[in-house]
Amino acid sequence: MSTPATTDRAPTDQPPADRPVKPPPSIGTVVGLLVFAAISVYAAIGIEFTLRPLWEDVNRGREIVARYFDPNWAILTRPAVREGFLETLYIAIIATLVGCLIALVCAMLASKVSAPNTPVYRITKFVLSVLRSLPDLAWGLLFVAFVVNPQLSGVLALTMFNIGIVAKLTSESIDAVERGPIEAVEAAGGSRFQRGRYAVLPQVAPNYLSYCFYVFEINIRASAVLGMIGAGGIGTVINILVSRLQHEDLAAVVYALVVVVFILDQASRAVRRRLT
Amino acid sequence: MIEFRDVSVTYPNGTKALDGVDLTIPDGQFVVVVGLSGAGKSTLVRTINGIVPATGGELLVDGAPVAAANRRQLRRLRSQVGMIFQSFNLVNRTTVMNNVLTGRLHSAGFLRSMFGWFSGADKEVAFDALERVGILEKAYVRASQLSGGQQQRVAIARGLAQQPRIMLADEPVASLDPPTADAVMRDLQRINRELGITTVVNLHFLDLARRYGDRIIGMRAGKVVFDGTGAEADDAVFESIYGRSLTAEDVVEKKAGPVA
Repeated sequence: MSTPATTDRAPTDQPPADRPVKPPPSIGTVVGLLVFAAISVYAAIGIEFTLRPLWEDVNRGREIVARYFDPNWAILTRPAVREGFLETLYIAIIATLVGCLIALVCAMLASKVSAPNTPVYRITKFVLSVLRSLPDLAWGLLFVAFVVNPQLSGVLALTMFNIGIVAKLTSESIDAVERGPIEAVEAAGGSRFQRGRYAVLPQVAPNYLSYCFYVFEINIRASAVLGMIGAGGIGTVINILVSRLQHEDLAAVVYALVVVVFILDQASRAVRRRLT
Repeated sequence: MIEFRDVSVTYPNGTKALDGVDLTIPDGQFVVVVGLSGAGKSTLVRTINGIVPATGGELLVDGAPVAAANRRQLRRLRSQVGMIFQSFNLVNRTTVMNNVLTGRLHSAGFLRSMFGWFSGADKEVAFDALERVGILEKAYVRASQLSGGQQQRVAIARGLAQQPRIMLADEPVASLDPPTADAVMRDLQRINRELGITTVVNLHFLDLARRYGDRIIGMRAGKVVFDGTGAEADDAVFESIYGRSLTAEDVVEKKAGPVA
């Protein structure tokens, strides 16, 4: 295509021969793509990857699947189920609250902008990356083994998980704050703590709160799953129903869970949109 | 009183920003420091509150050596020295009042500052500071909603809220339009006259320097090359400070005149 407004050549003209030729893809790109393809093939062979069960076994569970389409809604009125849902919510709320408060302190120590010195910054970064290397389920298994009270083990597992996420995201927000206000608090005779509280925190507060709501969304879902490994909440109920093969009851609980998670997700998202 | 005795500052990258500066600034004086950018003006004012440590010589503020101060002493010194910046350095997301209360942090303990419980006396000091710069009614407005001139007044109020003995200003009007620049300089002068606060202002506009400075200090390549009154600082003096002939960029009011 040519643009007649900027050139006086006719549209049919060939471009002049001195235009630079597009360089061939770099050797690194080619090698990278080949390695990626090789690893994919190798992995597929390794797990004997096939989609065949999808159509060969599709009729096998028909009877059970049918029971999921006929949920027994009456189970939702049982006190144990209602309490299970509430427990999941409480676990998520407390874990979010405690985890986010600890995470704020960790975030301040994990950014070069607000950390008192380099060793503290390095150690905090290291501890946080260790925290993040364990998924929520692993924390759950750990605390279920340690702690007798199932709800407490759920709260502790999610708290650890939240610290890892919120502290990392918040410390990255802190890295990007304006330095001017920090200099101003310093020049006014403020202590290091006061610099963090009055120059850094107001600048990252909207982001930080948004991360808190984000992990709250994760916590609702995760605490439902954590119940299945014995960490309290609705997951415990689901676990019992699965083991008793009460598929109609299970279906009702799962549908209700989807609705509850969806509503809380949307509410939390609406709040987050207003924050930033 | 601020005393520089052969003060030098060499930055870690080897730049020599101050080179053997000898100065005595008595209490209550309004001093304007002029010079091109890179002449060492910013470094000079920042050594006074120890934000930039002097690497050679001796600097005394009210008789106390700045270099020898430990962290606690340095914070006490800084609490007595207000500072105003070119880019205002306000926290935009919070209210004017919260920004001004930053000036009271030196007197707030850990718990008070953690939860933001400022005493009634501290709040009164902050209101009084806002009243002095004429924006008391903006106390609970977000800082980001104010104009540049108003933001710089908030910054002045923040400095005033420290109830300082010395006020430092690093290019306080470089980001403002000419009439606003003049108004902000008038505020600084009024505060200096009314409260007797020693004031050191960096400027690069020579007309503002002449109009407001009781005393003008010219800097070039880290050295003091002129020290005298505004009346003594004629165009020839400024040309020698700047090391070039004057241009329209050197004045804030662009009008026909001997230098424009």
